[in-house]
Amino acid sequence: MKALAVLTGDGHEIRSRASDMVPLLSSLAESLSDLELCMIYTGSVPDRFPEWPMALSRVHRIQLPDAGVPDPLLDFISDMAETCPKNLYLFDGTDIGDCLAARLGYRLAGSSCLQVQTCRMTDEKNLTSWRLACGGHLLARTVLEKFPWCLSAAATPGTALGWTGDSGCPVTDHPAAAMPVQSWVISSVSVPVETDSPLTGADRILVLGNGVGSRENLARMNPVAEALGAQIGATRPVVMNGWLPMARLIGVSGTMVAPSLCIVAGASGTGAFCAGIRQAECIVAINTDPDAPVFETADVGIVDDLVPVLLALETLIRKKESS
Amino acid sequence: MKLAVCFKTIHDYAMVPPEDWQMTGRYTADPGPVRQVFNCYEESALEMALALGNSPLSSGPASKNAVLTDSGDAAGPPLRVERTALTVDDNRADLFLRHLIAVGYDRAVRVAPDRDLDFSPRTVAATLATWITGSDPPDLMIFGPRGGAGEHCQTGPLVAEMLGWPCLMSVAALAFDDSRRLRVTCRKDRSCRIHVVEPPLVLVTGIATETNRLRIPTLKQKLDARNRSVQVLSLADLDLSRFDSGDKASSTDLVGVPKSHRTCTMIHGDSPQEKAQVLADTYLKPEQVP
Ligand SMILES: Cc1cc2nc3c(=O)[nH]c(=O)nc-3n(C[C@H](O)[C@H](O)[C@H](O)COP(=O)(O)OP(=O)(O)OC[C@H]3O[C@@H](n4cnc5c(N)ncnc54)[C@H](O)[C@@H]3O)c2cc1C
Ligand SMILES: Nc1ncnc2c1ncn2[C@@H]1O[C@H](COP(=O)(O)O)[C@@H](O)[C@H]1O
Repeated sequence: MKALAVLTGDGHEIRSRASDMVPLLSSLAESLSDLELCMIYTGSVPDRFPEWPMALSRVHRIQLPDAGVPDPLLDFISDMAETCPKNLYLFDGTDIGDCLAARLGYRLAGSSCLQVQTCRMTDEKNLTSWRLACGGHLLARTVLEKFPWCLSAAATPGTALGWTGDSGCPVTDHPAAAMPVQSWVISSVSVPVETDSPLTGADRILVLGNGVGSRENLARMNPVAEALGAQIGATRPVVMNGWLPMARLIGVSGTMVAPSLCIVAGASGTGAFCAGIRQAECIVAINTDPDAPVFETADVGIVDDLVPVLLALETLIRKKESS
Repeated sequence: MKLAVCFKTIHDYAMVPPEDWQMTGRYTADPGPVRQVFNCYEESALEMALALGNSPLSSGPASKNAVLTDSGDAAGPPLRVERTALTVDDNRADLFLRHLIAVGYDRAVRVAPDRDLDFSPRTVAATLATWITGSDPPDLMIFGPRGGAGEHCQTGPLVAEMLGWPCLMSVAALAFDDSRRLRVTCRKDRSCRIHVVEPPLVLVTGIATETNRLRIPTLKQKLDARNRSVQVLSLADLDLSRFDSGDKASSTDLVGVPKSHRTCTMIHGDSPQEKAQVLADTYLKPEQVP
């Protein structure tokens, strides 16, 4: 089977997104006879390559004229598919990766499945993939019957992937000038944003859910997190209320984390959120509702109001520190 | 400018007790008598479209900014934004469509499917694309990033592909610039870009939207909306043959619950302080405290 892997993530994203693809590539390794890689960039040319579990036969470095405008890339890859067809196109699970996997699957009259967690060849003609559905509560199994298969990889925490300056294979450069002009884009500018990633790699995380109740309560949790040496994470409603920036969101649509300690306070524990903390070593849940589903995902549970419990915890830690 | 927002209400999955998912061993996207809700991402998308409709340039008297374009020309009458809410769903969606009419949607359209389409994203996309190419096509189609029970993450891009329209992802905000052109802000975790674009196009919202909860109608809006009806079409009213709606390319079934390998030890105590003490002593070992 011939495959093309496409990394669309930009500078910060590319490393974790390339790691996310490892489990899928590994489970297909036996069937892969040839793997090429496309690395998409807008700024400087990428000069390091992922050390994936199998050798690459060629790397294409493709420059996009406008970041976030995937259309020319789609044309480029479908042109490539015509001259050098593959059985499998594997994209990273960024928004752009998803967009390309869906569109390419349709354009090439193949089949698509996005945000795939695991996959396996069921026979020569069928690929079976598993991903989350129904608010993250259920696993959906999709059998892809039509070639080519277009997949995108779901985020998986924790796989550290090496990068090397030696691609180990020929590299072809495709500068932006070769891309068709997108006349519908009148202008496109980048606006600077905060670039540190507070959650990735954090050893301890204090996740605050809707149960925190207010911006004021949330502010009271900063010293708690500090005493714990933890980063603060959030569930979707907390981000929706504008209490915390979206870089703090944990779950299927935010960051997947793998800390050694994760204290989840005031979150009901829905599947879409819990998928994001599943790899934590120890999960402590604090919730006023003894029947909250979050206790199903936790190692340790406390039924109580999160505010007094966490403030008491802070006092205890500070006392220990000073003694 | 005409725009349509596509949405699909979902069961409030958060309300389903964990054991109910496990109970029968047969997994279904319909967990029975659970209320329907807007998917949070589509709620942002629906509100985003309303906010565009209400921007100073697009309704009421032209604002100061609207008078001149980049080239100094008079900008003409204010832009009117005509909004449609569109869903492929059974009649459980009608309540939500009426809510949308009350808060300012000009049209609410429901295409009634002839079978369960939760896991047929191409059929849903073909249905939406067929509607779009009907008699009064919109300039903008807005989608959520993942929706329905299926959460395929592909309906918006699929519709774009079917129509041959461009597609922008991770859309966080919409506005008109001084020259009355559409300005789309796309925001991701660590990047933000502003594109000024020429419709038609498909927009897929992201998670970092500037609008969040959908507004609630006032009593007066609710009463006014009572006289306006939801337009219901059947799949038979649409000729889907233009697009490859064949979901034969793949088949999906629900096979289980994501495994939790944990058993929860409860900490008991008479006060929050006591519980915190046990937590600190037993689970936050001294070497773990920074
Ligand atoms: C397609 C899709 C994708 C999604 N992706 C994500 C995602 O990536 N991440 C995410 O977080 N969500 C996501 N969601 C939303 C998700 O389904 C839930 O709505 C959300 O996670 C609920 O957040 P919550 O638990 O904080 O709030 P709620 O469900 O409102 O729960 C609040 C909890 O706090 C408890 N509580 C209340 N007061 C207190 C108190 N004083 N002390 C202690 N406990 C208290 C309550 O008992 C309750 O259990 C997604 C939804 C959809 C439809
Ligand atoms: N049945 C439907 N009717 C209308 N819009 C839909 C439907 N299903 C999905 N969508 C739209 O497509 C988006 C992505 O859905 P999905 O591809 O299923 O994850 C959703 O957020 C909606 O905006």
